Amino acid sequence: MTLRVSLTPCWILHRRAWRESSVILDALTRDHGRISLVARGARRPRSSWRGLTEPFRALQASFSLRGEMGTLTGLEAGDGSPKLQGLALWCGFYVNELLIRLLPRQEPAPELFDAYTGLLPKLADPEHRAPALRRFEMAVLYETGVAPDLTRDAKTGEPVAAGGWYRLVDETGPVRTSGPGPESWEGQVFLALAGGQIGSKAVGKPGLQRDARKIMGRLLAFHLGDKPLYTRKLLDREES
Amino acid sequence: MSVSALEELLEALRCLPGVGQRTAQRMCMHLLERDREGAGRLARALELAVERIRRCDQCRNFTENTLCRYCASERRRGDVLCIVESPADILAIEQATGFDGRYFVLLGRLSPLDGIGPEDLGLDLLARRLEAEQVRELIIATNTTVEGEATAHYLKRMADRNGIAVTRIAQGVPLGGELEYTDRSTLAHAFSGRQPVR
Repeated sequence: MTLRVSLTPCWILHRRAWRESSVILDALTRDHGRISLVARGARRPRSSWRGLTEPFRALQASFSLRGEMGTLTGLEAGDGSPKLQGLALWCGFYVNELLIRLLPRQEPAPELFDAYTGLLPKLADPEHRAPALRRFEMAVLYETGVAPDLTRDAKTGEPVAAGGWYRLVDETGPVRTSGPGPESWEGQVFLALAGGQIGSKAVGKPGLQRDARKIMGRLLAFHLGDKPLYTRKLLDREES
Repeated sequence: MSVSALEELLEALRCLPGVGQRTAQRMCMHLLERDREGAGRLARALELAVERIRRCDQCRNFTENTLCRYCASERRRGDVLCIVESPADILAIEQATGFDGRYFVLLGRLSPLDGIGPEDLGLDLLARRLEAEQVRELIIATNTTVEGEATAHYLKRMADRNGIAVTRIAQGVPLGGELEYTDRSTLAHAFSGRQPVR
Protein backbone atom coordinates (compact mmCIF):
# COMPACT_ATOMS: atom_id res chain seq x y z
CA MET A 1 0.00 0.00 0.00
CA THR A 2 1.28 3.43 -0.88
CA LEU A 3 1.19 6.13 1.76
CA ARG A 4 0.84 9.68 0.49
CA VAL A 5 1.86 12.52 2.76
CA SER A 6 1.37 16.20 2.05
CA LEU A 7 3.61 18.96 3.41
CA THR A 8 4.73 17.52 6.71
CA PRO A 9 7.51 19.11 8.82
CA CYS A 10 10.86 17.60 7.97
CA TRP A 11 14.62 17.97 8.49
CA ILE A 12 17.19 16.48 6.17
CA LEU A 13 19.84 14.55 8.08
CA HIS A 14 22.01 13.58 5.16
CA ARG A 15 21.87 13.36 1.38
CA ARG A 16 23.88 11.74 -1.31
CA ALA A 17 23.96 12.12 -5.05
CA TRP A 18 22.18 9.37 -6.92
CA ARG A 19 22.53 8.74 -10.63
CA GLU A 20 23.01 11.76 -12.88
CA SER A 21 20.62 14.29 -11.38
CA SER A 22 18.89 12.85 -8.34
CA VAL A 23 19.52 12.83 -4.62
CA ILE A 24 18.73 10.27 -1.95
CA LEU A 25 17.68 11.97 1.27
CA ASP A 26 17.82 10.64 4.79
CA ALA A 27 15.07 12.70 6.38
CA LEU A 28 13.59 13.08 9.84
CA THR A 29 9.85 13.72 9.73
CA ARG A 30 7.60 14.48 12.65
CA ASP A 31 4.92 11.88 12.02
CA HIS A 32 6.71 9.18 10.05
CA GLY A 33 10.11 9.06 11.74
CA ARG A 34 13.34 8.71 9.84
CA ILE A 35 12.75 7.89 6.19
CA SER A 36 14.67 7.57 2.92
CA LEU A 37 13.41 9.59 0.00
CA VAL A 38 14.48 9.87 -3.62
CA ALA A 39 14.40 13.45 -4.88
CA ARG A 40 14.33 12.91 -8.63
CA GLY A 41 16.02 15.61 -10.66
CA ALA A 42 16.96 17.61 -7.55
CA ARG A 43 20.44 18.31 -8.94
CA ARG A 44 19.27 19.65 -12.31
CA PRO A 45 20.25 23.30 -12.82
CA ARG A 46 16.64 24.48 -12.91
CA SER A 47 15.19 22.21 -10.25
CA SER A 48 12.99 24.09 -7.80
CA TRP A 49 14.41 21.88 -5.02
CA ARG A 50 17.94 23.05 -5.63
CA GLY A 51 19.38 24.55 -2.50
CA LEU A 52 16.49 23.20 -0.45
CA THR A 53 17.77 19.66 -0.02
CA GLU A 54 20.21 20.76 2.66
CA PRO A 55 20.57 19.68 6.27
CA PHE A 56 19.62 22.18 9.01
CA ARG A 57 16.89 23.84 6.94
CA ALA A 58 13.37 23.81 8.23
CA LEU A 59 11.33 22.14 5.48
CA GLN A 60 7.87 20.93 4.60
CA ALA A 61 7.98 17.77 2.53
CA SER A 62 5.39 15.90 0.49
CA PHE A 63 6.18 12.32 -0.43
CA SER A 64 4.82 8.93 -1.25
CA LEU A 65 6.08 5.99 0.72
CA ARG A 66 5.98 2.37 -0.30
CA GLY A 67 8.38 -0.08 1.27
CA GLU A 68 11.84 1.11 2.26
CA MET A 69 12.31 3.99 -0.14
CA GLY A 70 9.90 6.85 -0.64
CA THR A 71 9.67 9.42 -3.43
CA LEU A 72 9.78 13.12 -2.73
CA THR A 73 6.92 14.87 -4.50
CA GLY A 74 7.14 18.36 -3.02
CA LEU A 75 9.46 20.44 -0.90
CA GLU A 76 8.99 23.89 0.56
CA ALA A 77 11.05 26.00 2.91
CA GLY A 78 9.51 26.21 6.36
CA ASP A 79 10.06 28.81 9.03
CA GLY A 80 12.89 29.04 11.48
CA SER A 81 16.02 27.64 9.88
CA PRO A 82 18.84 28.02 12.40
CA LYS A 83 22.06 29.74 11.35
CA LEU A 84 24.75 27.19 12.08
CA GLN A 85 28.34 28.14 11.50
CA GLY A 86 31.70 26.88 12.62
CA LEU A 87 31.62 24.62 15.65
CA ALA A 88 27.80 24.79 15.80
CA LEU A 89 27.68 23.30 12.31
CA TRP A 90 30.04 20.49 13.31
CA CYS A 91 27.83 19.73 16.33
CA GLY A 92 24.88 19.62 13.93
CA PHE A 93 26.68 17.00 11.84
CA TYR A 94 27.35 15.07 15.03
CA VAL A 95 23.68 15.01 15.99
CA ASN A 96 22.70 13.93 12.49
CA GLU A 97 25.22 11.10 12.51
CA LEU A 98 23.92 10.02 15.91
CA LEU A 99 20.35 9.83 14.60
CA ILE A 100 21.36 8.03 11.43
CA ARG A 101 23.24 5.43 13.45
CA LEU A 102 20.79 4.86 16.31
CA LEU A 103 17.29 5.73 15.15
CA PRO A 104 15.45 2.93 13.32
CA ARG A 105 13.65 3.84 10.10
CA GLN A 106 9.96 4.53 9.73
CA GLU A 107 9.12 4.64 13.39
CA PRO A 108 7.24 7.81 14.28
CA ALA A 109 9.08 9.85 16.91
CA PRO A 110 7.28 13.18 17.29
CA GLU A 111 8.87 14.02 20.66
CA LEU A 112 12.36 13.45 19.30
CA PHE A 113 11.51 15.51 16.21
CA ASP A 114 10.45 18.39 18.45
CA ALA A 115 13.56 17.96 20.59
CA TYR A 116 15.70 18.14 17.43
CA THR A 117 13.87 21.26 16.27
CA GLY A 118 14.50 22.84 19.67
CA LEU A 119 18.12 21.73 19.76
CA LEU A 120 19.40 23.24 16.49
CA PRO A 121 19.11 26.93 17.44
CA LYS A 122 20.75 26.19 20.79
CA LEU A 123 23.80 24.80 19.00
CA ALA A 124 24.56 28.30 17.77
CA ASP A 125 24.75 29.54 21.38
CA PRO A 126 28.09 28.56 23.01
CA GLU A 127 26.62 28.71 26.51
CA HIS A 128 23.69 26.38 25.86
CA ARG A 129 25.30 24.12 23.30
CA ALA A 130 26.78 21.43 25.56
CA PRO A 131 23.81 21.07 27.96
CA ALA A 132 21.39 20.95 25.02
CA LEU A 133 23.48 18.23 23.37
CA ARG A 134 23.48 16.14 26.56
CA ARG A 135 19.70 16.42 26.88
CA PHE A 136 19.27 15.43 23.25
CA GLU A 137 21.59 12.44 23.62
CA MET A 138 19.44 11.26 26.54
CA ALA A 139 16.33 11.84 24.44
CA VAL A 140 17.77 9.61 21.70
CA LEU A 141 18.42 6.84 24.24
CA TYR A 142 14.86 7.17 25.63
CA GLU A 143 13.37 7.15 22.15
CA THR A 144 15.23 3.99 21.16
CA GLY A 145 14.23 2.40 24.45
CA VAL A 146 17.75 1.79 25.75
CA ALA A 147 18.11 4.61 28.28
CA PRO A 148 19.37 3.23 31.60
CA ASP A 149 18.03 4.45 34.93
CA LEU A 150 20.78 6.83 36.01
CA THR A 151 19.16 7.45 39.39
CA ARG A 152 19.72 3.91 40.67
CA ASP A 153 22.74 1.69 41.12
CA ALA A 154 22.45 -0.96 38.38
CA LYS A 155 23.72 -3.72 40.66
CA THR A 156 22.09 -3.05 44.01
CA GLY A 157 19.08 -1.00 42.96
CA GLU A 158 19.92 1.57 45.64
CA PRO A 159 19.29 5.24 44.76
CA VAL A 160 22.39 6.99 43.40
CA ALA A 161 23.94 9.22 46.07
CA ALA A 162 24.99 12.66 44.89
CA GLY A 163 28.30 12.45 46.72
CA GLY A 164 29.09 8.80 45.89
CA TRP A 165 31.37 7.59 43.10
CA TYR A 166 30.11 5.44 40.23
CA ARG A 167 31.42 3.60 37.21
CA LEU A 168 29.78 2.41 34.02
CA VAL A 169 30.39 -1.31 33.64
CA ASP A 170 27.95 -1.79 30.79
CA GLU A 171 24.92 -0.03 29.32
CA THR A 172 22.66 -0.90 32.28
CA GLY A 173 23.68 2.11 34.40
CA PRO A 174 25.98 3.40 37.14
CA VAL A 175 27.61 1.00 39.61
CA ARG A 176 28.98 2.22 42.93
CA THR A 177 32.76 2.16 43.32
CA SER A 178 35.07 2.85 46.23
CA GLY A 179 36.20 6.32 45.22
CA PRO A 180 37.55 8.64 42.54
CA GLY A 181 39.34 7.14 39.56
CA PRO A 182 39.93 7.81 35.88
CA GLU A 183 36.72 6.04 34.85
CA SER A 184 34.47 6.94 37.75
CA TRP A 185 32.24 9.93 38.26
CA GLU A 186 30.30 11.53 41.07
CA GLY A 187 26.68 10.55 41.55
CA GLN A 188 25.45 14.10 41.07
CA VAL A 189 26.55 14.05 37.43
CA PHE A 190 24.36 11.00 36.77
CA LEU A 191 21.48 12.61 38.66
CA ALA A 192 21.86 15.84 36.69
CA LEU A 193 21.83 13.88 33.41
CA ALA A 194 18.74 11.94 34.44
CA GLY A 195 16.95 15.12 35.48
CA GLY A 196 17.97 17.08 32.37
CA GLN A 197 19.69 19.60 34.65
CA ILE A 198 23.10 19.75 33.03
CA GLY A 199 23.92 23.42 32.58
CA SER A 200 21.25 24.63 35.01
CA LYS A 201 22.33 27.08 37.66
CA ALA A 202 21.20 24.72 40.43
CA VAL A 203 23.97 22.23 39.64
CA GLY A 204 27.16 24.22 39.61
CA LYS A 205 29.85 21.62 40.17
CA PRO A 206 33.02 22.50 38.24
CA GLY A 207 33.87 19.99 35.53
CA LEU A 208 30.28 18.76 35.48
CA GLN A 209 29.82 19.41 31.78
CA ARG A 210 33.03 17.59 30.93
CA ASP A 211 32.05 14.60 33.08
CA ALA A 212 28.56 14.55 31.61
CA ARG A 213 30.03 14.51 28.11
CA LYS A 214 32.26 11.56 29.00
CA ILE A 215 29.41 9.60 30.58
CA MET A 216 27.13 10.15 27.58
CA GLY A 217 30.01 9.22 25.29
CA ARG A 218 30.40 5.89 27.13
CA LEU A 219 26.66 5.18 27.15
CA LEU A 220 26.32 5.91 23.44
CA ALA A 221 29.43 3.86 22.65
CA PHE A 222 27.73 0.73 24.04
CA HIS A 223 25.03 1.11 21.40
CA LEU A 224 27.24 2.25 18.53
CA GLY A 225 29.28 -0.96 18.63
CA ASP A 226 32.66 -1.26 16.94
CA LYS A 227 32.26 1.79 14.73
CA PRO A 228 32.52 5.05 16.70
CA LEU A 229 30.98 8.24 15.35
CA TYR A 230 33.27 9.94 12.85
CA THR A 231 32.04 13.42 13.73
CA ARG A 232 32.76 12.82 17.41
CA LYS A 233 36.33 11.86 16.53
CA LEU A 234 36.75 15.08 14.55
CA LEU A 235 35.18 17.17 17.32
CA ASP A 236 37.50 15.63 19.93
CA ARG A 237 40.47 16.43 17.73
CA GLU A 238 39.20 19.95 17.15
CA GLU A 239 38.88 20.60 20.87
CA SER A 240 42.18 19.10 21.95
CA MET B 1 33.83 -18.24 -19.57
CA SER B 2 35.14 -15.47 -21.78
CA VAL B 3 33.38 -12.16 -22.22
CA SER B 4 32.96 -11.04 -25.82
CA ALA B 5 34.57 -7.79 -26.96
CA LEU B 6 31.13 -6.30 -27.44
CA GLU B 7 30.02 -7.06 -23.90
CA GLU B 8 33.30 -5.76 -22.54
CA LEU B 9 32.80 -2.45 -24.39
CA LEU B 10 29.17 -2.14 -23.22
CA GLU B 11 30.24 -2.68 -19.64
CA ALA B 12 33.18 -0.27 -19.94
CA LEU B 13 31.02 2.57 -21.32
CA ARG B 14 28.75 2.32 -18.31
CA CYS B 15 31.48 3.74 -16.09
CA LEU B 16 30.55 7.16 -17.49
CA PRO B 17 28.11 9.23 -15.43
CA GLY B 18 24.56 9.02 -16.74
CA VAL B 19 25.27 6.11 -19.06
CA GLY B 20 23.05 3.12 -18.47
CA GLN B 21 22.52 -0.03 -20.49
CA ARG B 22 20.50 1.59 -23.28
CA THR B 23 22.82 4.56 -23.78
CA ALA B 24 25.85 2.29 -23.70
CA GLN B 25 24.28 0.18 -26.42
CA ARG B 26 23.58 3.23 -28.57
CA MET B 27 27.11 4.58 -28.17
CA CYS B 28 28.55 1.19 -28.90
CA MET B 29 26.50 0.69 -32.09
CA HIS B 30 27.35 4.18 -33.30
CA LEU B 31 31.06 3.66 -32.82
CA LEU B 32 31.10 0.22 -34.47
CA GLU B 33 28.68 0.89 -37.32
CA ARG B 34 29.34 4.49 -38.28
CA ASP B 35 32.54 5.79 -36.81
CA ARG B 36 35.26 3.22 -36.40
CA GLU B 37 37.88 5.87 -36.97
CA GLY B 38 36.45 7.98 -34.16
CA ALA B 39 36.39 4.92 -31.92
CA GLY B 40 40.09 4.37 -32.51
CA ARG B 41 40.85 8.00 -31.77
CA LEU B 42 38.79 7.89 -28.60
CA ALA B 43 40.60 4.77 -27.42
CA ARG B 44 44.03 6.30 -28.04
CA ALA B 45 43.08 9.63 -26.44
CA LEU B 46 41.74 7.90 -23.34
CA GLU B 47 44.84 5.81 -22.98
CA LEU B 48 47.12 8.81 -23.40
CA ALA B 49 45.14 10.93 -20.96
CA VAL B 50 45.10 8.30 -18.25
CA GLU B 51 48.80 7.68 -18.73
CA ARG B 52 49.93 11.31 -18.77
CA ILE B 53 47.56 13.38 -16.68
CA ARG B 54 48.43 13.58 -13.00
CA ARG B 55 47.88 15.96 -10.13
CA CYS B 56 49.86 19.17 -9.74
CA ASP B 57 52.37 18.89 -6.89
CA GLN B 58 51.35 22.26 -5.51
CA CYS B 59 47.62 22.63 -6.01
CA ARG B 60 46.27 19.16 -6.93
CA ASN B 61 44.83 20.43 -10.22
CA PHE B 62 45.10 18.13 -13.27
CA THR B 63 48.27 18.57 -15.30
CA GLU B 64 50.68 16.70 -17.55
CA ASN B 65 53.70 18.15 -15.77
CA THR B 66 54.79 18.37 -12.16
CA LEU B 67 53.16 21.80 -11.93
CA CYS B 68 49.88 22.91 -13.54
CA ARG B 69 49.86 25.98 -15.77
CA TYR B 70 48.59 28.26 -13.02
CA CYS B 71 51.25 27.22 -10.55
CA ALA B 72 53.99 27.30 -13.18
CA SER B 73 53.04 30.71 -14.56
CA GLU B 74 55.46 33.49 -13.60
CA ARG B 75 52.85 36.15 -14.15
CA ARG B 76 50.41 35.01 -11.50
CA ARG B 77 50.67 36.45 -8.01
CA GLY B 78 51.64 34.07 -5.27
CA ASP B 79 50.22 36.07 -2.39
CA VAL B 80 46.56 35.31 -3.11
CA LEU B 81 45.39 31.72 -2.96
CA CYS B 82 41.91 30.63 -4.05
CA ILE B 83 40.54 27.37 -2.62
CA VAL B 84 38.10 25.43 -4.80
CA GLU B 85 36.45 22.04 -4.56
CA SER B 86 37.16 20.74 -8.05
CA PRO B 87 39.26 21.48 -11.17
CA ALA B 88 36.00 22.40 -12.94
CA ASP B 89 35.64 25.29 -10.48
CA ILE B 90 39.03 26.65 -11.59
CA LEU B 91 37.83 26.73 -15.20
CA ALA B 92 34.64 28.52 -14.14
CA ILE B 93 36.56 31.15 -12.16
CA GLU B 94 39.12 31.61 -14.94
CA GLN B 95 36.40 32.21 -17.52
CA ALA B 96 34.28 34.50 -15.36
CA THR B 97 36.76 36.58 -13.37
CA GLY B 98 40.07 38.30 -13.88
CA PHE B 99 41.62 36.44 -10.95
CA ASP B 100 45.40 36.34 -11.33
CA GLY B 101 46.42 34.54 -8.15
CA ARG B 102 46.98 30.86 -7.63
CA TYR B 103 44.69 27.99 -6.68
CA PHE B 104 44.39 25.01 -4.43
CA VAL B 105 42.01 22.17 -5.34
CA LEU B 106 40.48 20.15 -2.51
CA LEU B 107 39.02 17.47 -4.81
CA GLY B 108 36.01 17.24 -2.54
CA ARG B 109 34.73 18.82 0.64
CA LEU B 110 34.69 17.96 4.29
CA SER B 111 31.75 15.64 4.75
CA PRO B 112 31.90 14.03 8.17
CA LEU B 113 28.81 11.92 7.54
CA ASP B 114 30.52 10.35 4.55
CA GLY B 115 33.70 9.90 6.54
CA ILE B 116 35.58 12.51 4.47
CA GLY B 117 37.93 14.39 6.78
CA PRO B 118 40.79 16.91 6.46
CA GLU B 119 43.35 14.28 5.48
CA ASP B 120 41.29 13.29 2.43
CA LEU B 121 41.42 16.83 1.03
CA GLY B 122 45.17 17.30 1.00
CA LEU B 123 44.90 19.87 3.77
CA ASP B 124 48.29 18.77 5.12
CA LEU B 125 49.77 19.87 1.78
CA LEU B 126 47.89 23.17 2.04
CA ALA B 127 49.11 23.70 5.61
CA ARG B 128 52.71 23.28 4.45
CA ARG B 129 52.13 25.79 1.67
CA LEU B 130 50.61 28.33 4.03
CA GLU B 131 53.64 28.05 6.25
CA ALA B 132 56.26 28.13 3.52
CA GLU B 133 54.83 30.69 1.11
CA GLN B 134 54.11 34.38 1.48
CA VAL B 135 50.31 34.10 1.25
CA ARG B 136 48.50 37.28 2.18
CA GLU B 137 44.91 36.35 1.39
CA LEU B 138 43.03 33.08 1.20
CA ILE B 139 39.89 33.24 -0.95
CA ILE B 140 37.48 30.46 -0.09
CA ALA B 141 35.38 29.49 -3.10
CA THR B 142 33.78 26.29 -1.83
CA ASN B 143 30.18 25.49 -2.69
CA THR B 144 27.39 27.05 -0.67
CA THR B 145 26.28 23.73 0.81
CA VAL B 146 26.57 22.90 4.51
CA GLU B 147 29.63 20.81 3.70
CA GLY B 148 31.14 23.77 1.85
CA GLU B 149 30.42 25.87 4.92
CA ALA B 150 32.08 23.34 7.24
CA THR B 151 35.09 23.25 4.92
CA ALA B 152 35.30 27.06 4.94
CA HIS B 153 35.28 27.08 8.73
CA TYR B 154 38.13 24.57 8.85
CA LEU B 155 40.17 26.55 6.30
CA LYS B 156 39.60 29.73 8.27
CA ARG B 157 41.09 28.14 11.37
CA MET B 158 44.10 26.96 9.36
CA ALA B 159 44.65 30.42 7.95
CA ASP B 160 44.25 32.05 11.37
CA ARG B 161 47.11 29.98 12.71
CA ASN B 162 49.34 31.56 10.07
CA GLY B 163 47.91 35.05 10.39
CA ILE B 164 46.52 35.03 6.85
CA ALA B 165 43.46 37.10 5.90
CA VAL B 166 40.49 35.00 4.78
CA THR B 167 37.69 36.03 2.42
CA ARG B 168 34.74 34.04 1.12
CA ILE B 169 33.09 34.62 -2.23
CA ALA B 170 29.80 36.50 -1.81
CA GLN B 171 26.46 34.69 -1.79
CA GLY B 172 23.35 36.44 -2.99
CA VAL B 173 20.79 37.26 -5.64
CA PRO B 174 21.90 36.20 -9.14
CA LEU B 175 22.45 38.98 -11.66
CA GLY B 176 19.25 39.69 -13.55
CA GLY B 177 17.37 37.85 -10.83
CA GLU B 178 14.13 39.06 -9.32
CA LEU B 179 13.79 39.17 -5.56
CA GLU B 180 10.31 37.72 -5.71
CA TYR B 181 11.64 34.51 -7.21
CA THR B 182 14.79 34.24 -5.15
CA ASP B 183 14.63 31.50 -2.56
CA ARG B 184 14.36 32.62 1.05
CA SER B 185 17.74 31.60 2.38
CA THR B 186 19.62 33.10 -0.56
CA LEU B 187 17.72 36.33 -0.04
CA ALA B 188 18.45 36.23 3.70
CA HIS B 189 22.15 35.77 2.92
CA ALA B 190 22.09 38.58 0.39
CA PHE B 191 20.33 40.84 2.85
CA SER B 192 22.66 40.24 5.76
CA GLY B 193 25.67 40.57 3.45
CA ARG B 194 24.53 43.88 1.91
CA GLN B 195 27.17 46.38 0.87
CA PRO B 196 27.45 50.16 0.74
CA VAL B 197 26.47 51.54 -2.67
CA ARG B 198 29.50 52.92 -4.43
